[in-house]
Amino acid sequence: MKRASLVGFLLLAVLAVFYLQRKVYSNDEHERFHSGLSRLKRLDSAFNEDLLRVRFSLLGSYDVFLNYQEEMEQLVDGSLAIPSFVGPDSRADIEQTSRELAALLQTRRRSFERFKSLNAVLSNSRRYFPVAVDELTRRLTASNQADQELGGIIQTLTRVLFTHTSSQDPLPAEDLATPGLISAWSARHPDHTETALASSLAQHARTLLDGQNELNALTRQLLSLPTAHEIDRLSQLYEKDLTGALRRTGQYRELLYALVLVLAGVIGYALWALRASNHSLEQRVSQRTADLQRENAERQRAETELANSLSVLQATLESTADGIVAIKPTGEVVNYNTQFVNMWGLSPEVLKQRDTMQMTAFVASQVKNEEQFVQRITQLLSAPPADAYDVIELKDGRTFERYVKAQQVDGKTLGMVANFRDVTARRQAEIELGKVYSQLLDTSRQAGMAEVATGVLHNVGNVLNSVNVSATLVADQVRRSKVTNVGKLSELLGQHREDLASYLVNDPKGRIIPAYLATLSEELTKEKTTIITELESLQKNIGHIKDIVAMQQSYAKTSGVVETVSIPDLIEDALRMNAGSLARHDVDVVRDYHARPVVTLEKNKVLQTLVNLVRNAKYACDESGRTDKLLTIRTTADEQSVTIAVIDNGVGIPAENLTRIFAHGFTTRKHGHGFGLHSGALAVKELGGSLTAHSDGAGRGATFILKLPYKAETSL
Amino acid sequence: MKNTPPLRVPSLVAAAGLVMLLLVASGCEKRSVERGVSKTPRPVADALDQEPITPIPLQPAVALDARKVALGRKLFHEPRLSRDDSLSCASCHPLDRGGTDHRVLSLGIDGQKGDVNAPTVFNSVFNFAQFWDGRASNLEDQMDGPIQSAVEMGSTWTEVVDKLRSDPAYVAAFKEIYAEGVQPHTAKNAIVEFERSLTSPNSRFDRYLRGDKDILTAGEKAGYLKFKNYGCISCHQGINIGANLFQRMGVIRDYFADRGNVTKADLGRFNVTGQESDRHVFKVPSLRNVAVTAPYFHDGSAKTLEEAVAVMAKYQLGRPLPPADLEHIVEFLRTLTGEHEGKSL
Repeated sequence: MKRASLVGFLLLAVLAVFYLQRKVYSNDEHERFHSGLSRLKRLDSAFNEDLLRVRFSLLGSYDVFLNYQEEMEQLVDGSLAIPSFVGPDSRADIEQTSRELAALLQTRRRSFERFKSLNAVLSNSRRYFPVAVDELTRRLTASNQADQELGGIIQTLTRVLFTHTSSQDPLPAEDLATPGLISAWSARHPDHTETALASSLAQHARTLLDGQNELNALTRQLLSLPTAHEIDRLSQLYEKDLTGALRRTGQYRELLYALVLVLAGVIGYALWALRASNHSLEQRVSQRTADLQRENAERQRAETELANSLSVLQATLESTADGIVAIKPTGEVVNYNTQFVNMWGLSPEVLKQRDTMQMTAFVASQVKNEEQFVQRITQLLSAPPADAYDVIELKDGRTFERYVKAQQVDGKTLGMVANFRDVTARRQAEIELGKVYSQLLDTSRQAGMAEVATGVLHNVGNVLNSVNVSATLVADQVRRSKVTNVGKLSELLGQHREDLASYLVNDPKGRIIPAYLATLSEELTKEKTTIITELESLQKNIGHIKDIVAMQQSYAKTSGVVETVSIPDLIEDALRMNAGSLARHDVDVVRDYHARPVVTLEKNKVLQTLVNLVRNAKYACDESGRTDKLLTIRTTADEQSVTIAVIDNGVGIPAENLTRIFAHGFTTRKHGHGFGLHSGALAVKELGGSLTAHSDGAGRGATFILKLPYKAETSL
Repeated sequence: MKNTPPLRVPSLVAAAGLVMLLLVASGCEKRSVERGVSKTPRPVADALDQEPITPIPLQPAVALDARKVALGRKLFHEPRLSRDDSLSCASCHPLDRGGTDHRVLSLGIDGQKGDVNAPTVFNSVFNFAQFWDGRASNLEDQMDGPIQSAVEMGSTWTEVVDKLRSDPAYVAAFKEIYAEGVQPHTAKNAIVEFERSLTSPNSRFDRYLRGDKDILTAGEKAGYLKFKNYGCISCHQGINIGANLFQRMGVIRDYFADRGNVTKADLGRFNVTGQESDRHVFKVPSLRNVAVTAPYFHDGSAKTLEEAVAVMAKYQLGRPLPPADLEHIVEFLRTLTGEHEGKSL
């Protein structure tokens, strides 16, 4: 595109140059100059022609010459513009020739003025002379001497004048003196009647004689003025230059045509491109229009939605049980709902003012701690916090909760919304709830103990199983004992009491008896060892049962009693209580004790929780179906608290369940009652600790973190 | 391509190209408009047998600008053109009195006497030169004379233009016609345009020339014939019956020797050219309206037509003129009074 326009501009520039060069030849200018020259020529010859006509009285008026002169002078003085294409040299020549012609025209004008005057006078004299001669001759008489004398003079004068008018040759002096003869005659005959006429005749003759030569000379001069030559010279100069100009013009014209063709092509292309771009522009315009319409529709919808939202908001404001007021940092009240008005009993006058401090003053008297109330509002206004929570007690026994939330945009507080809630009823409910809560706590503790008892019975049952197995083994062992073989041997030896020695030496049976005895003794020793082992196991299991029972008794007995215990001991107890099932389900237990702190708290609550956690971990591992079931118990401690983490690599907890697992009744197990974690969490909370759960998700194990203070709060 | 702005460059190229083509095609060169010149081509007779006198066209050959004529008329009657606001052009050339004041010598400002008789302003546009001595070749140049002459209007163009510019009416009137407003050349142009309108066509003689052969009496016709035969026609010919050549006053006899008391003005064209042959040479005056423009000659010495014709016969023709012939010639001269704006002068 850029290149195309560049080419276009280039062409235009060249065209412009050519356009200027076109001045090489202008037909218009040529026509004007050429016809001007022709006109000059015509005027010049007409002037000369008419000059002769007027000279010989064939033309009666001089007006025509004035027209010739004026037009010629005008042409030469400038109206005959030299065409611009004439070269500087020729131009200078033409201008020079024009100046010469102008000078000639001025000369002609001056000569012609004289010619006119003289011609007028001479023509009159010529006309009058014969008239005067005729008149005078008629008046003369032949008898009179003076008259004869005058007649002779007149005859001479007539001859001289005729000769003069018909010849160019200068007259002899005596001829020229002829008019003087009349003057001399008049002097000789002063009283003659025709003196006046005679002297008039003489005067005219003199005029003719004097003037004829001058007029002839003037005529010749005017006719021979080289005006025609100069005009011809102008033509020649011009035509010489014109030939060159025409040739150059021809060349330029051809180039111009070529350029015009190229330019026409460029224009065509430009128009095509323009149309194409217009088309794309139209497309874009229609696209944009569509976009705008859609945007418009969206905006309208958004506006409608906004309006809806606003009405919803207003409705929400009105429908909420809370009293809500929105204020600007300046204290101006922006909005409020009916509930707000009703809660505080605000009068329309106060509302109309829309001022927070006015409202504060109006309601302050209702508040128990008036001063603090006003002070707090002033403080909130002067330095708006992100949010603030206050409980306001009223003199009439009502209690309001005030929650102030700042509206912040880019860290700038634009306003605040204060939310008032009448919590009088809730307060009472809370008191009620407290009672229920403690009852619930008792219940849950009992439930927890039942859990422990179940565990105990289970463990005891398991151990009893082992006891039973050991007892059966011992019984079988004893039943299958080789001891009976000792009896048979004794009997055999009794039969051979006499010949015992020979029997033992000679009898084939008797000879193998010593070897048999050694083997039997070995067998019996083996049997004894096995039985002792089984009996030891039995003894141990029974001790185990005793322990379990004793432990259960001790926990049950020490409920509610604060004692100082070692955390590892506590964990060991919990593991021991689950030892059977852990062993049965092949769960490896890793003890990762980073600290072995000693805490002072209600031991049974912690144990109860730990037992639950361990059992849950075991279940989780078991359910995952993996072979490397692993339970890690890690203890850490810092200055404030002790942390026990129970970590399993079991089924894990989906994120959506993480928050629910502590809720009452939540369980993932078929026969679970959803009470263990709930009561555990409650118990820990009572101790001033916390129980949290963490899992990376289903199948990725879980970690339960039990956090305990060194010393339990003496609450409840 | 799609995202480029609309093709402004190609469209420019196209537009410029079209303009260039049009220029090339039409060759639109302006010709300079020449400033008007007061010269008017004289209607002349071609044929040999036609009369040496041509009638004044009933309509001007070149159409006049009515606004300029109106402004020129106002200026012609404007006393502020004189130094002391006492004289206008019309003071010496009252249009209702044949365009001349009929004094021997006109009175300038402060009652000063001019040195020649004031010729009529009517038909001055047909004069080949202005003033008795022909020192101005056109009406524009003529105007400088009376305006700046100390004994006539005694003013300057600067002064005149200043006065006119102080008059809002003039400023507005000029502005309406001339872009340059009040200027010496615009004021002259307006007055000249008005003077071009001061022709007196349709005289009885013109009507005779146009073919109304019965409009002249026998005496008048005889007068015209004598006018020609005596040779008056040698000088008094053409459209203005004179005023197209110079002639010496006293061709046959020395007029000034007989009259005496020769003044500088009596030297005539000699004052302009300094040539001896121009001594006592004057512009041949027009004989149109001659009956209503007495007194006659540059010195205003002839009070009647009879007197003037007699002087002419004596000094210019040098032949005796019988009283009857003189009477006829005078009768003929009286037929030369034309009309202006439909009224006889």
